[in-house]
Amino acid sequence: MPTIEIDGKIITVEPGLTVIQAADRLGIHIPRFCYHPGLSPAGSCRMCMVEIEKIPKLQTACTTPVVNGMVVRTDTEAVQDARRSILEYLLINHPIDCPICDKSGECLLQDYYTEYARYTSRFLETRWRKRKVFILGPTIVMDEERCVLCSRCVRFFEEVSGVRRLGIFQRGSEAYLSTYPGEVLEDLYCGNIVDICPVGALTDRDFRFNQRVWMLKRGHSICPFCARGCNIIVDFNEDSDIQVNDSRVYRFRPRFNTKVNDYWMCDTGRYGYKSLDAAERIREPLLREGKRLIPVGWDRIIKRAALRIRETLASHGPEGVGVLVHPTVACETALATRELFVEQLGIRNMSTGFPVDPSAFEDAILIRRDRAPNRRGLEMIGMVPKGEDVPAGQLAAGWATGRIKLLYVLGDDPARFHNPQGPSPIPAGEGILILQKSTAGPEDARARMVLPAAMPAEEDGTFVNFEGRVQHFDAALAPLGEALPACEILRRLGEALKVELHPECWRLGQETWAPSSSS
Amino acid sequence: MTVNEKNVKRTELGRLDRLYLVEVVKGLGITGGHFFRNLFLHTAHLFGLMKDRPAAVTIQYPEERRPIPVGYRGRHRLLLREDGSPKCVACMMCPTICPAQCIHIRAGESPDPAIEKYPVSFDIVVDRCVMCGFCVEACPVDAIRMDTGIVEMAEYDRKDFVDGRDYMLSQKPSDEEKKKGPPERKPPNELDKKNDEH
Ligand code: SF4
Ligand code: SF4
Ligand code: SF4
Ligand code: SF4
Repeated sequence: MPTIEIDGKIITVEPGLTVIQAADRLGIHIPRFCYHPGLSPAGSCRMCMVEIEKIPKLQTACTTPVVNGMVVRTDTEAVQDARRSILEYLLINHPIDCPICDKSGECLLQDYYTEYARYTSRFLETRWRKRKVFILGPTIVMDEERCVLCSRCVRFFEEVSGVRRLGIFQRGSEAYLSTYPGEVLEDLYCGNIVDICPVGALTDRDFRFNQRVWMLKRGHSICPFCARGCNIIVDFNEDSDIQVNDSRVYRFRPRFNTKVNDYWMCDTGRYGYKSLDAAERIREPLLREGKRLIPVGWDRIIKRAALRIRETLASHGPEGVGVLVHPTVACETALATRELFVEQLGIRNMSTGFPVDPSAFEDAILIRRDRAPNRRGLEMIGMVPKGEDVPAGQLAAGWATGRIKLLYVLGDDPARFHNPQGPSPIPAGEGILILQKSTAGPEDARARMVLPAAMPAEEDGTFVNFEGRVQHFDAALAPLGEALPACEILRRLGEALKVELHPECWRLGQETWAPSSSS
Repeated sequence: MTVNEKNVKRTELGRLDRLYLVEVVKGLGITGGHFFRNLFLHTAHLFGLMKDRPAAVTIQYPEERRPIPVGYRGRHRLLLREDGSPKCVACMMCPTICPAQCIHIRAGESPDPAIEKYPVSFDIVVDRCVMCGFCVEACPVDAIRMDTGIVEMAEYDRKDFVDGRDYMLSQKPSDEEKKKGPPERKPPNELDKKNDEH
């Protein structure tokens, strides 16, 4: 195990690591453009030059492996000078149009420019002008003048998404980045290149110009759109004065987790942020009056739901009530559901969602066939005693034939966000349909009551991904409108039903499987 | 801490002062003097005479107005490019700096790739504005100024205090500002000029 010294700090690392990686572990930031921890080192931008004792010339920290006894200095005059010179080269043709650049505020070039660069240009020749707003594909737009040719995006497609889609053409100051001739940049992981581009050369056409990044707050969450459970950052703005289109959330970004998603996420999840402020979100409790669902207060809807459940239990017994839990709910919600409906009310018609669509798309990178984030979690909890759980199809059939008089559905159908126009898995039935979910769907037309629930970024919870990794997440922002976290709805329902919920029922889960890893 | 004391000597009232009447008449004399002077001067002004000698110090607002000093901050206006499009590039520097948080901009993609970003809407809630002028200072392209000379801000309706983009684009600088001429510019940088020609 080599032990090295960087700026007077000593660290022992495993062999094969590079100097920049060791420095990152020590919290010493060595400026970089082309180096990205998720990609192979390229050593092309020369920004990470450091001084190493006994080596006469400066070395690139991203390609120099650590050797036992190495003494590295990142703050000497020579290093500063090298950075200044590299920046001077980069800025020769750079437009520095930060005021209109979407990357401004999170741009490495901007940061280093303010820190190291010389501010007045010594360049006498004419500047090289390139294409400004150049559309690469449906989601990405390119600004060739801002590109520092670090090749991060090129390497991303080669190494992570697996298909070469971008290349650097020409040489010297004529070099530019582009797709191969005639090709449109389309990929399921396109959005990542915007995150990793160290400058504002690649910007997201969806996010572009909606907000300046310094106006956004950030929260952490888990992507709820497939069984991978990528860790994400939720960028939102709660100040209604500066919102665009009354949206609170503006983007999802991947959050680093080696065990789940590394530095990446898929575009379905990335643009899934729109579901949080979608027009289809249910903003207040809805109660059926004749043909229409009318908005009512929480007290009224909870009382009404409790009354209907009690009536049905009295007239038809536990057999007359069915509970369908979609695997989109968090473990805490599932535990509260089990406590309320199974343990306390003795209901046995419990199903944990419809089976995975075997024809759905899946790849070897991140995207999972199972579009539900917490199927594994529901399995681990065991919603009903072993061997007693009802397949969803059987429950739905019971509902359709009228054997089940009241059906309580928790969570959103996992297919909803991927195919909003798709059919509802819940057939028509004669009884009372109570839905507790976040987003409107075709089954609402038959529902007696709709209870608006928070979406995952708006509530605390735990998902277990397909590998069995337990991931806890906290609420990033408050629920939309009148919506409440699912656990809170169940607590109120329990109160109205006058059943004592085990006070520890949601904490129980965390004790049972103390998070083995989260973020 | 030491407190500095200062003894103020009170004037002793004389016998005449104590009589009260004399002082009242003296006072009336001063008031009357001004009254008749102004009466005379105003009448003379009516006939177009002695115009150079102002009557009472009161400015006859709103017929008469005090000239607004150059640089005085009034209601905002947005500047135009030579082709008539807004100069503002919706960079959000002004809403970022604004201490009253009264500037609301929505940015959009400009059809001209050389401009790239322009304000689809640009509202300033003037009754919230504290007239600090930070927005003018922050603007990187000199797109916003407070030189309209509009300093009287009274409206019948609160919503009239929200100045929209097109209203502000249509505003002109005040006469005083126009007299002053265009703001001083730094001598054009030779390098910049060359680049622009390219
Ligand atoms: S890429 Fe960075 S330095 Fe260049 S204009 Fe954008 S924010 Fe400024
Ligand atoms: S577009 Fe961005 S990531 Fe790609 S080479 Fe240019 S600067 Fe690097
Ligand atoms: S003058 Fe000051 S308070 Fe008024 S809009 Fe400008 S920055 Fe905001
Ligand atoms: S600072 Fe200037 S260019 Fe930027 S948004 Fe304000 S007025 Fe427009």
